[in-house]
Amino acid sequence: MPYQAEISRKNPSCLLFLIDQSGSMSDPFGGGEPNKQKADQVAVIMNRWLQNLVIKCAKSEGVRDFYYIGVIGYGNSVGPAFAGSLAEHDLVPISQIADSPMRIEERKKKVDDGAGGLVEQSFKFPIWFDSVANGGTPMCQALSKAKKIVQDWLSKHPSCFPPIVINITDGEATDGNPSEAANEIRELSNADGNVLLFNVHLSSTQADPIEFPDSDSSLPDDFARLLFNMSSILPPHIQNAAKEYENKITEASRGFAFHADGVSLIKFLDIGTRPSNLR
Amino acid sequence: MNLKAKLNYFWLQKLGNEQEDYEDAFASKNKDIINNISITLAVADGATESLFASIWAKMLTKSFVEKPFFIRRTLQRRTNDLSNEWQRYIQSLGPLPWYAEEKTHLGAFATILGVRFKSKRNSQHSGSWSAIALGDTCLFQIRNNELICSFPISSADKFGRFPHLLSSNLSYNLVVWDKVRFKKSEWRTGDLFILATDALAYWFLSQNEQNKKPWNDILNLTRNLSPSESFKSWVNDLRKSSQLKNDDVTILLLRL
Repeated sequence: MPYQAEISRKNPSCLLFLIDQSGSMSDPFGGGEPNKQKADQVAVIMNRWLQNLVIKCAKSEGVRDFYYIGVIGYGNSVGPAFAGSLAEHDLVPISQIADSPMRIEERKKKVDDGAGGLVEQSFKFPIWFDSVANGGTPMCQALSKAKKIVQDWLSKHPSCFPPIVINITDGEATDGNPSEAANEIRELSNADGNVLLFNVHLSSTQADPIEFPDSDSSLPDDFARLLFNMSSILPPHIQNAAKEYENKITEASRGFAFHADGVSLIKFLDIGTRPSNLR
Repeated sequence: MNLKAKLNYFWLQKLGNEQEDYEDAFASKNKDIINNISITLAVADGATESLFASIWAKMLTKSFVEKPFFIRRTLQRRTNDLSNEWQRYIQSLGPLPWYAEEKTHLGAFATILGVRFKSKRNSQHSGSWSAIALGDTCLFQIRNNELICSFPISSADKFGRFPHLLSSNLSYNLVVWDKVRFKKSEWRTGDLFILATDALAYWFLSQNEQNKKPWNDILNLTRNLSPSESFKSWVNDLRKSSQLKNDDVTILLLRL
């Protein structure tokens, strides 16, 4: 049975993000407030993914390295996108990401007080990425770069939970059709199964969010349909976990999010007991 | 209560973890109030995906055996008190890194299983037991080499990946109060009770469903010269053969 490997410090897995930093990302984002650019939303999503992953791996003594994380930017150039002490690294352990945000912002949110009321609570929101938008969209190059990084990881981790590549983009590649490069990533595998490729699509089309659809029939444009078809079908154990959270998941659901962040996927990655009442 | 009551406990951290990473907890207490004898046991399983869960699990088990309760409202009140105690513990640690601060806002989570055995006033050979449970830590009662009670989960297919757990963050408890289960029944001399956290409990029920009488494997451990070493190699063998999920394991074994 594939996708059964335990994710542990001794047998970590890998998450590799590809973020579209091309000029077209300065166009308006169709899924949010009017003045927001797609590039702003990429930064929000990227920061949210990293924050949630760090918190998932945090334990009393520090952050456990269940994952190694890479972020490849593509726009003017294709390469590692972290700044500061993480710069130039293809993959870094999650504990180093925890310790190296560019800055930490203080924000406020209303939370349930447990007695039927709401109280305002301040919380810390770490920032690793600000918005960037310039140059073309060399998505095929980015996918090729991802393939090399993942191949190298697989050669050193032959039995780990398969790496997940997450491509956050508006889908408007300028260096050809990315389908073949996507296919080559999905065909990589180790003893526990094939590499998973997920896509998060941010477009200028005004439309409601869609997460983990099982067909492209409800998607609003050709870019969304292209990215959907490039995305892996969710493996059964993730489908089952998502069903326990009442998501509308079927056997054909894919790792694709339109105008959504896909961060809920983190809940379905198994590193140990997760409470049902922790939403 | 039969004075020959014998309690064994076994625990082992998840393979690959250190002993201090163990996040289950257990406690026991015997009372003799002018020969009204009672034995109280509690087991809690701290959730991996929460911070300082072992502290929370310890607080829950200790509190239960000190002053057992079998009413939902008492559980709610006790949880409120323990939540304050847990918050005070966190504050005593001083400033935490941003991720620990965020995660402690979410609270710690744990299962709780508590059971109290009482003797009949004029008999040392039978009596009653009462139990309370939230989550997937289980109690099994075995009589005449048959499983006669499995609480709160009755079959292996009822284990899920995301159990409802008791949180030190009270806002997460609103949805769990009606998931708390209660049970009252009788014990007799010769009965065997096993309390186990989820990995072992799942294995136990799966084995029982194949008529394999898994309690005998556990009883055998107590007959070895070094029960805790035998337990460790037994658990690790089950893990290696993929019969047992790699998780913290705790078993309390009470023979009456």
